[in-house]
Amino acid sequence: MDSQVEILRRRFERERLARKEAERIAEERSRELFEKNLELERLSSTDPLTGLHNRRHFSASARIEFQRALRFDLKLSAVMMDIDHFKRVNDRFGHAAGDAVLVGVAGACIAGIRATDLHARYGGEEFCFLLPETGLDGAGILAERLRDAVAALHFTAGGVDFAVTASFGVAERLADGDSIELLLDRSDKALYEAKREGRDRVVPWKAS
Amino acid sequence: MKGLVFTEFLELVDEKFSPETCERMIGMSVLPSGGAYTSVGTYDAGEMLSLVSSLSTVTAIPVPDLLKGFGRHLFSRFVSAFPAFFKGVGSALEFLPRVEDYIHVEVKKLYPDAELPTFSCAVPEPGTLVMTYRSGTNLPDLAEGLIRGCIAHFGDPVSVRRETAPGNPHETVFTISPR
Repeated sequence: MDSQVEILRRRFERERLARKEAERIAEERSRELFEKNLELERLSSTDPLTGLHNRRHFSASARIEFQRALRFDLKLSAVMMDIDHFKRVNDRFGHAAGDAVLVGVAGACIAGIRATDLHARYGGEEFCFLLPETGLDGAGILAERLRDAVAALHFTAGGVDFAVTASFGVAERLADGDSIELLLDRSDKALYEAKREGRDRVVPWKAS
Repeated sequence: MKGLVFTEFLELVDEKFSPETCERMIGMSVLPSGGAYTSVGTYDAGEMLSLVSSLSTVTAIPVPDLLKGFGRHLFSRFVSAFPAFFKGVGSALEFLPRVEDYIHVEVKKLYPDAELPTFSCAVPEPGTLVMTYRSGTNLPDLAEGLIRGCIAHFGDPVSVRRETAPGNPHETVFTISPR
C-alpha cells in the first residue's frame, strides 16, 4: 500500500515538473511566434529596397487616417513625389546606380518627414506621403524641405559624380465630398503640373 | 532526443511490465531531467540509454531486444499520432525512403533543434531497399525496431538484413528485400 502511495507521489511530482517545463516551452514558442509575426508584418508592409512602406500598407493606413480627419474635421494633406529623369540615371549609370538613388532619396525623405506622417514607395520612382493635421501651406513647406534634401544628395557611379532632383505635387483634404482616392488623385495631378512646369519644384493643387 | 520518445517509452514500460518496474527503472537511472518528461521537450539521448540499461537490469531482458521492441511500438504510435505522413502510402518500401526526404524535413520545421538520425536510401534493384542509418546517439536497435514496425504496419512480404557498415561502427546498413 505504502509502495503504491509512494509511486503515485513520485509520479505526481514528475507530472508537476513536466507540466512546468511544457508551460515554459509553450511560453517561449509563443514569444518566438509573436516576434516572427512582427517581422513578417514588417516585411509584408515594407518596400525591401527603400525601407518605405509599400503601396498596399500605405493605402490601408491612409484610408484610416482619412476617416479620422473626416470624423474630427482635421486637416490632412498628401504629397506625391517623383524623381526627375530617373530613367536617364538607369540608362546612363545602370540599375545599381538607380537603386542607390532610390535608397538615398528615400532616406532623405524619411529623415525629412515627421514620425506621424505616412510614407510609401508608390511606384517605381514615385513616393507618396500623407501628412495628418497638416494643411496645404504646411505640406508645401515640408515638400520644399524634401526637395532641398533630395537636391543636396550626391551620388557616384562609374567614376562620375551626379545629383538628382525631384518634383512634388501637394493637395489637401477638401471639406465636402472628398475621399482618400480623390485627395491622392489631386496630388498626382499637381505633380503632373510640377513636371510640366519644368520639374524640381513643388506645385500645390489648384481647382481649374 | 524529443520528449515524445521518452513519454512513449515510459507508457510502454508501464503497460508491458508494471508501474513498479517503471519506478524502479527510473530510480536506477542517471537522469538530469529527473525523469519529468514532456512530449514537446528535448532531452539528452543518454537518458534513454540509461533508462533502457536499467530496464534490462530489472527485467533481465537484453538491451537490444528492449530497444527493438520499443522501436516497433513507437512506429505504431507514430501511425496514430501523425496520420498525414501515411496518407497515400501503400507499402514499407514506399514509406521508408520518405523518412529522410520528407518526414525529417517536416519535423525540422516544427523542431529546428531536433537531432535526427539520417537514413540514406538506395534501390540496388527493384523491390530491394538499402537504408544506411547514421546517428549521433547510435541506436541501431531502435532503428531496426522502427523499420520492423513499419514493415508489420504495411504487411510487405520482405525480410530485413542488418550489418554494421565496414570500417564504421557508427553506420548500420539495413537491406530490405523480398522474402
